[in-house]
Amino acid sequence: MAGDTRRPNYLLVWVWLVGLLIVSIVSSFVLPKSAALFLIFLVALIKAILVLLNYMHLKFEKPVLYALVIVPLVIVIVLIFALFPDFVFRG
Amino acid sequence: MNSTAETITATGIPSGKIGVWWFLASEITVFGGFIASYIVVRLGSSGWSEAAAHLNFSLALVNTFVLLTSSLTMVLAFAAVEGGNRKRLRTYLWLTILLGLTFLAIKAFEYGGEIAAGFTPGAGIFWSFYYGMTGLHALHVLGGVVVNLILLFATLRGLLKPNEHRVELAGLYWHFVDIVWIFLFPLLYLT
Repeated sequence: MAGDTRRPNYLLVWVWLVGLLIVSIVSSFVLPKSAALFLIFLVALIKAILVLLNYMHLKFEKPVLYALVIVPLVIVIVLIFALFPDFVFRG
Repeated sequence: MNSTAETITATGIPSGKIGVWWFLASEITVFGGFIASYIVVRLGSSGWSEAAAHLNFSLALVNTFVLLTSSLTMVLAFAAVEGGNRKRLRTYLWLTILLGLTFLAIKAFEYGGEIAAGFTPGAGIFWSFYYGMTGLHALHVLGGVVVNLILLFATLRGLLKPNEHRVELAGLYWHFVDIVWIFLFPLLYLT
């Protein structure tokens, strides 16, 4: 991105991040637990994507950098599912 | 041929930037492994919500706001160096360092209260995960503060050029640390 003149509105992204933080806090108090959990982690995912794309400038980068983010995430997801049977079969 | 962090690799990306992204990829597996283990162990156990209720939610909320704001100041430091504005660069690096130190001070205060109440890392599996994950994250914040201090001193001594790529690379690391907290906060304090 160095030398690239395309630039997101950084302040607006921060406003979104703070707004989404407020959404997750409010939902944890007013929604039923399962709905709140779903919304809280959806909001966390959206916030992470906002930071990745705008503050880390991933949206201006080449696809090879996306691979460096996605491959370890897949490994982590595989890890979760690999560990899952351990607690399912223990009850 | 001399190779520097600004040398363009076969991918078309400077070697310094691709090196930082490789490092961050390894960090995703470190924190991801921790978080995956936490989720699985938590799903298989009971009583975690009761333990989590003893955490100081207000302090963690302030810390979340502090870290989100530090990401803004860090990216504004990058915009300043790209625009060749050294004064703004110094201001935003200072602000990022101060916000990072504020985060660490609040976290230390929070730890103090929890330990005084008997919730030490050995008080149970939840507390082991809590101190392990937040402690590792705090060490990363400290590392980011040190890197930003080095950049700040380089700026004060006039060693940083306009379009200095190191500010961008430090920013990538700092924003990653912010993303980790974006997940740790709900996992520990909102569930």
